[in-house]
Amino acid sequence: MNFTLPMKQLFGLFILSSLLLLGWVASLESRELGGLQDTQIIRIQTRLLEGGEYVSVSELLPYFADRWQYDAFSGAMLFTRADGAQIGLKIDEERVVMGSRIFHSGTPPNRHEGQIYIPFYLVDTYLFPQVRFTESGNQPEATPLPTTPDNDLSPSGNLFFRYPTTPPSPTPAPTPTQPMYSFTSKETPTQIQTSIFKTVPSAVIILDPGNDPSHPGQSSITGARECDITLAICSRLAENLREYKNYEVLLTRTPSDQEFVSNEHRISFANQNRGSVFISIQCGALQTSEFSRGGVFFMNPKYDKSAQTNQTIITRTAQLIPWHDAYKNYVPQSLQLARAINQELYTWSRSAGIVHMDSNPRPGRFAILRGLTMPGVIIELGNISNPETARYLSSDRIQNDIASELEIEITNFLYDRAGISTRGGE
Amino acid sequence: MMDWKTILIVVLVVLLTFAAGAAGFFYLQTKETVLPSDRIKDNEASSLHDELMVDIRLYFMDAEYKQLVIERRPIEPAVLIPDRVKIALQALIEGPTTHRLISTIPDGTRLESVFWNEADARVYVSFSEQLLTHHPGHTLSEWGTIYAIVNTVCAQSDAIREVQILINGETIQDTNTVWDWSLPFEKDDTFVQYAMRPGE
Repeated sequence: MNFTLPMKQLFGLFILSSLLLLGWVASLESRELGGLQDTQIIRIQTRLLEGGEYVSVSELLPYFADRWQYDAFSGAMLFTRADGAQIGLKIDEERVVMGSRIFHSGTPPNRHEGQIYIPFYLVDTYLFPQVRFTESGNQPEATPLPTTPDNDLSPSGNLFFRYPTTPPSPTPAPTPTQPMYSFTSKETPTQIQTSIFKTVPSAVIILDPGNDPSHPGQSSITGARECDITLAICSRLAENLREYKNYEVLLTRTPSDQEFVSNEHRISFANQNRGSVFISIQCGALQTSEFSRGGVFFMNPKYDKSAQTNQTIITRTAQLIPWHDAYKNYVPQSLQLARAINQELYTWSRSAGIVHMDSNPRPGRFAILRGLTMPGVIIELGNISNPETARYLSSDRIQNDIASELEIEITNFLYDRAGISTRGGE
Repeated sequence: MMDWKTILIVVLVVLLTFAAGAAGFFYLQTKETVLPSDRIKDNEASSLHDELMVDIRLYFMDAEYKQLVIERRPIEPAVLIPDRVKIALQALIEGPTTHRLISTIPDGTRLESVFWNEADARVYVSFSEQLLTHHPGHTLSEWGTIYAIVNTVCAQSDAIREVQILINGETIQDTNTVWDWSLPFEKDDTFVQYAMRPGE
């Protein structure tokens, strides 16, 4: 039997298929997305999904050119509008981050048939706030909108747009509070912010980066040290909180601190500076490198018999703090904060699947929280001896993400405590 | 120069070998093995000796670091509480015999001494410094170490109410641990999975 010709063809086909497969895999890992730089006409097509009206992200990309990012780990999307405002959205997350503000939309972006869909309400309100969409066949028309003199976010040439919807969507019916297609008068983002955030609660936030250079903690096989990762994340979080919220943020140790920083010193530092909230960030190792787990922890008097008596603690700075006052009064608030952060990190970490989180925070008796005169929690980010986790937590993008997630929850907690609602979309 | 047919055969052989290797690997991965300890093997040899043995409960971490799992292990009975605690802690340090359980006691740790204070219903257990110096430091890892020791000790007698962990006979203070080890701990079954025996 002569197999020469078919075999050659088959082998060639095999090589070609392999190359195509490799090319496809390579293209998946380095996807580049782009579009028009200057948007003049917005045409989007909506789709009804589960009773709501959605827009595919691919429809929006041409209008954001290089000004958008997508994090496949967390499912977070960041759009930078023409006026410079940044809008953060996340799959299955009801909150919308606009600059330093947080809004609850009630309808999260979702995935459907491999595509990411954003509710039209969010597209209309946050991504194109100056655009008035009108349903009008297939021919888009543009009409300038009057600009208000005090609207500093208005881009030049506000236009009245009409966009095609095929087929016309009969449901859901527009409601007075959430119009689907047109606004007779739109609130600018500035007005929305002003109406919701009348006051910013003053607060001193104490961030505690775990370990220190004299006791650097565990190191990964790539050389990433626990003390460096915790300090990097705390520094980013402090920067966010200072820049966007004007909070006073203090770190229990700074990059210049090279000596041992004891738990007692960290607690005294927090108490002396009259902190409003204490966040300790840790990133230790487990006995196995094959699995990574993180968690959120809070102090519970059940584990501390001293809290059930009138014993006092004398700190290094000669502060005499009754245990009852030290933290027992703050246990419900610590639990509230721990739950919120845990929920946020639990949802966030699930999308990446690298660090596993408990669904609830764990109580305990912690040297780093014992004696605090404020609500306090410990956040354990993962197992640094797991190489994938070490690489993950060392990346700038993930550190920024973690800082953003924590910033949201800390802000929400402080607003809740001050009796100010952060639920802008409701 | 090999012809195409030979190359194709070689490629097919390589692919088949790889596939067989992968299949074998995954088969071995999914097949859980239980390794009986020497003590258990000895028990099988003597039924009389077996009757004299008693089960003790040891606490180890599960593979996902979610909870502690009880492993029962037969030992020779001891009358005095300190002796029972010593035997149990030695077994704890030796590690689990059940597949996929993790020892939470750092390598190199030695049990120094055990002291029973009946008036306070408290057991003092003193370890070598490796308990902390070789500890990986994760908050969950510390939790696992503490409650593996405390629950194992408390399981040896209903009279034991709390356990004070010491390093070289001294209380643990001014360290960089996340948990507060300075005071006695009570047994905590909040994150314990029950019903697990070697071989089950």
